[in-house]
Amino acid sequence: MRRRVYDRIVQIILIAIASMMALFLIYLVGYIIGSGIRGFSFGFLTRAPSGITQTGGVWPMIASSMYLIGLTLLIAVPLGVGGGIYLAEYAGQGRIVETIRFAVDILSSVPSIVFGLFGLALFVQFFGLKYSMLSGALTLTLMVLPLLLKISEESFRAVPVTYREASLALGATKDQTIFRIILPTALPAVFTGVLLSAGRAFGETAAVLYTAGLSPTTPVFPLDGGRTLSTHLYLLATTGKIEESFKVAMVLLVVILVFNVLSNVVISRFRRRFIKEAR
Amino acid sequence: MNPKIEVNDLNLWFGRVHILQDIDIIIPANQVTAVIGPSGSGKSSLLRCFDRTNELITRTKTTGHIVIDGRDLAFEDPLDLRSRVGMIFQQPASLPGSIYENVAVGPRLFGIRDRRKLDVIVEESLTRAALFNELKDRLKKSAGALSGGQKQRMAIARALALNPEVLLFDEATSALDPISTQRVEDLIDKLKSTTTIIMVSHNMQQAARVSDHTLFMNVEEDGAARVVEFGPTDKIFTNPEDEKTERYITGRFG
Ligand SMILES: Nc1ncnc2c1ncn2[C@@H]1O[C@H](COP(=O)(O)OP(=O)(O)OP(=O)(O)O)[C@@H](O)[C@H]1O
Ligand SMILES: [Mg+2]
Repeated sequence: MRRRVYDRIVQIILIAIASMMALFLIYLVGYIIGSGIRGFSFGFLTRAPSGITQTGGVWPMIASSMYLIGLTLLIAVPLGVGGGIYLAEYAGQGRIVETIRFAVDILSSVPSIVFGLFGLALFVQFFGLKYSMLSGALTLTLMVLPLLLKISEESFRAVPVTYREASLALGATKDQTIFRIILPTALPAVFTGVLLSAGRAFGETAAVLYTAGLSPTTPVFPLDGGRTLSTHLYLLATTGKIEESFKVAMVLLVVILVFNVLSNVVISRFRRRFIKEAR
Repeated sequence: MNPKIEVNDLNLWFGRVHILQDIDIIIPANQVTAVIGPSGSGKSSLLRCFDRTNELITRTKTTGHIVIDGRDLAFEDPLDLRSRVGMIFQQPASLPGSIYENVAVGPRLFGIRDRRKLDVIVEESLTRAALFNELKDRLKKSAGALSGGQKQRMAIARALALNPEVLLFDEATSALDPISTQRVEDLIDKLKSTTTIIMVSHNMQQAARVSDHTLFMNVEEDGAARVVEFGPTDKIFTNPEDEKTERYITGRFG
């Protein structure tokens, strides 16, 4: 009897905590959308900002953000997934691998502003890539690589040994086993890692500020500069244009929400295709 | 009775540990040989000698010879050998992709790309595994939703797609329900005409029911596994020569 009362109390506390978090989230989203929607028109998304105040539109920022994420993923995904395969399948154990893992763990806890400074020194100045999409993407690659490496390595390790055994017993080579059996099995989980990385890159401000620049123009070539949504928001907010900031914040939030919903759909599709039956 | 596999004075070590000691047996062609013995008596290790997959797991050392159809395994290409010696495991793996893909994996690994050829191979293999009629309308559907018994017969079809001469079953029915087990046993009986079968089983009734010959293995004091008795199944189960065999099959040890 006492155990049941105890269970009940724990349950009530947990429900209270969960609903508080949910309420807070709803309040946050509601507040941002509520503040941003005032004076919002569809043209805000398709116009360039104008005047010395740089307000009235965010099209170049949307373009810069997408450009930067695309370029980052283009560089980071092959490196991260390739590195994950290497660590999980080929590296084995040893001092060198342990050192790599240690370095990756350290890297993942470095504050993003440090990546920004490093990118500024290395890519912008030393390699002379200027404030550009390429500098930004290379910096963001360094930043998301630990996450991507870790998630891909773990996804490969999570493939059941029975798959490996079955493949090898058929006479497959190690490479065939890895690329035809293990990789397709691990793909949905790897994809989750890619989406998480894209999300981090999208929201990142500090690392981009010093590397991709602030030019409010639409980038075309990798060496063009640009201003992402989050850096734009940062600039607006620090120069006191609060009303405009909330509009941008709303755009950011909606993009992230849409992105999350889409990725959930894609992941569950994947899952269903691989694990369950689509009768 | 034609010999299919001759094992001469086989010894196996995993690292420093002596696993199999002085194995001397002749496996007859187109018959079912059951391998029985307590847990850890080297049954799986012996099976893995026949497709040379032990060497993939740990550092191993082998002495002695295994000869299949007059050819010493040590001198064969291990990948080619594994395509001719199929292995069925306790837990069937349903690989990502459709049922069709699952069965076509083997031939594809060995370079068969032609769609029509693959179609024929897949249909034949599933038919031989007594699964084609059951699944012919959903070959392109994911293999993940098959029942345990269907997955196991699909794994058999996958091995059959490479047209193996020898099939090794390592406790292939111990995760299945009685009806699925019955189906796999029937299948083994049919496959006898085209392949040589070696099956590890912990189920004495099954070994007695399905096999023609029985090999009883046991771990000795020193930790290495040896053959205690090998002979016609009837004889092993009704009138064993070794007292340990009798005790094991009547369930009094192991
Ligand atoms: N990968 C491995 N590395 C080292 N030793 C191993 C390995 N696999 C098996 N062994 C050892 O080899 C011996 C024989 O194991 P094996 O799996 O062949 O027995 P088994 O008869 O198949 O047992 P079971 O009935 O439990 O499946 C055991 O002592 C086991 O600990
Ligand atoms: Mg075993």
